[in-house]
Amino acid sequence: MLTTQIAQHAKDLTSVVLGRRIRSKFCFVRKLSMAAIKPSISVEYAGNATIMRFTDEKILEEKDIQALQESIMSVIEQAERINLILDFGNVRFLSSAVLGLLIRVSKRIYERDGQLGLCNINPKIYEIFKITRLTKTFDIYNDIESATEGLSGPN
Amino acid sequence: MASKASINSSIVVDSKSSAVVEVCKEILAKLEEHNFDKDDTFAVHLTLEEAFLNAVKHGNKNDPTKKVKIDYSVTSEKVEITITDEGAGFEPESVDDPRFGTGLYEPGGRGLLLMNSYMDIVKYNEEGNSVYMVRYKEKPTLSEGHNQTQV
Repeated sequence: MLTTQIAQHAKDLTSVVLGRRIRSKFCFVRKLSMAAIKPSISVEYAGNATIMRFTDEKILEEKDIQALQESIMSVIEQAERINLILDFGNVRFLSSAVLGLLIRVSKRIYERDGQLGLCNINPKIYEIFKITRLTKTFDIYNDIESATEGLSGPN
Repeated sequence: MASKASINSSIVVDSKSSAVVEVCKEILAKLEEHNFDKDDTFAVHLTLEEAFLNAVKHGNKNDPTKKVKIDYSVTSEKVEITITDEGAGFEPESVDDPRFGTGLYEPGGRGLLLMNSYMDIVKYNEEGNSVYMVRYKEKPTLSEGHNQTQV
């Protein structure tokens, strides 16, 4: 009798463990497929600033750039007058198509009386901004802290 | 006519933007084999992205039935790349400089500027559908007369 109870208990335990395994695997797959659908960009808020951080090292694919633009534009539309900081800390490579995205985003922000700051730009990427003279068009800051301070003044 | 001296490998791919991935993979691997540094790799990668996308979008007008041909050569001294599309060609001089005037606020038009900045030689053929580009591992002296040129 006791042996049967122990065997049953062991069986229940096994299914719990298996169940957990199955569930965690499922979550992982779901996470992967979500990442495949949308390129990564995170959003957080610091005071009156909205910080959007590119999480991919390379931003190249046309469809990814289009999806990023849609994500950023939707955040802009949701705010009344956004103080947006775009954090490039993770970005190691981009093409001129991303510069186009930034121009379109900045136009939309200025139309809505908002402000835009770029920060944490790696030296190689900064060179691209310099060559194209976009260092004169965009407000570029060293880090999030200085960007937050820079955009906190009256707009 | 764009010079095609010492070009010894060719890739022909479908005219779609995603095809640039395999082109970059092949050529950048050759750069690594020949000990090009990170600056060179960054420059050639960026140039390939820009030139290839120009060929697909502006040259072949996003026609997926067309092809893009990439001829290249990598030696211990330099990398040479020629990208040819099946389009009608264009006049590089007719492209406005995006650094000045309203160009600064236009979303497009920076690809050619970046190619010219990151490569030591940039030349187009007469038809304007083929671009030949060179980057030297060690920069040539000014007396050798290598500049960023458009012909």
